[in-house]
Amino acid sequence: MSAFVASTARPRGNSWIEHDAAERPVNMPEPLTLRGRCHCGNIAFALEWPGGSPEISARACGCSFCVKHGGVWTSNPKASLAVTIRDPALMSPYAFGTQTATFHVCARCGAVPIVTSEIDSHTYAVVNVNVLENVDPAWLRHAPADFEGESVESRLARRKRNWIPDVRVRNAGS
Amino acid sequence: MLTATCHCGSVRVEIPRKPRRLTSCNCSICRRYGTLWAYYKAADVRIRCARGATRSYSWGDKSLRFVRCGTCGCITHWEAMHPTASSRMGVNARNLDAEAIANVRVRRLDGASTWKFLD
Repeated sequence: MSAFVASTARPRGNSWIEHDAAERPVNMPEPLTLRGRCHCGNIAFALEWPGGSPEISARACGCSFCVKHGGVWTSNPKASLAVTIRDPALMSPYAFGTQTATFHVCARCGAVPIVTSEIDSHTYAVVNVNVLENVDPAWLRHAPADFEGESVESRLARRKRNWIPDVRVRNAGS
Repeated sequence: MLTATCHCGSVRVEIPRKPRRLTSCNCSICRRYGTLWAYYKAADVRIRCARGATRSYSWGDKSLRFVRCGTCGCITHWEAMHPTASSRMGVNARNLDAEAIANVRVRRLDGASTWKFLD
């Protein structure tokens, strides 16, 4: 089982929202909280997008998995992601190719809200734009993405630069 | 005949011909699945997989179930919960070769609200 699923420790500090409110300087724009979930609600997340005008990348990945799933992903290296899982037994991980990314399929409804990558014992994530619930379509910046042929080293370095580095997982059932 | 295959290859869906039209629906389930539906008579479609290889999900009035590969999670099709001789089936064309659907018109269905096409 990946560290992502196994991580049922309580979030550091209070809730992640309170944590942010306490540390954000008063002159910084309000962050935007994007909420998403699989269809049955087993996997839900709150993505705290950095403040200012929201321009949210929406990458339609051209890899063999994402094409079949119609996957459109977003991330921001300054964002924070709080994931809530009701029943960890209903998480179905899938990896292929370089085995460096784990696609978290909900074993009840089959949606894929999150992908994670463990790099140097740290969890990075992207979320599926298709499962967002409160996004204004005008915020989305759609673009194709193709990482075919990229070396594993370059791939991991890119994820460290671009993926969400602050990922907290809470098991709501515990 | 064309074959739509999930990512890991466990589930294959055989359809009699290339779709003439595809539907992209914005309802709560289709948008999450990212599916592109091609419709056929259920009797014209063959699902090839080992017993137990698929999972299904149903919601709302539970007249349909959405079927996916239990390994890679690819949504393969939807089918009637209580099929009849005239039942139809929606096959996820994302699992076809890209060339097979490259020039097929995609219509956007407002399944979230009006159930009318938006284009």
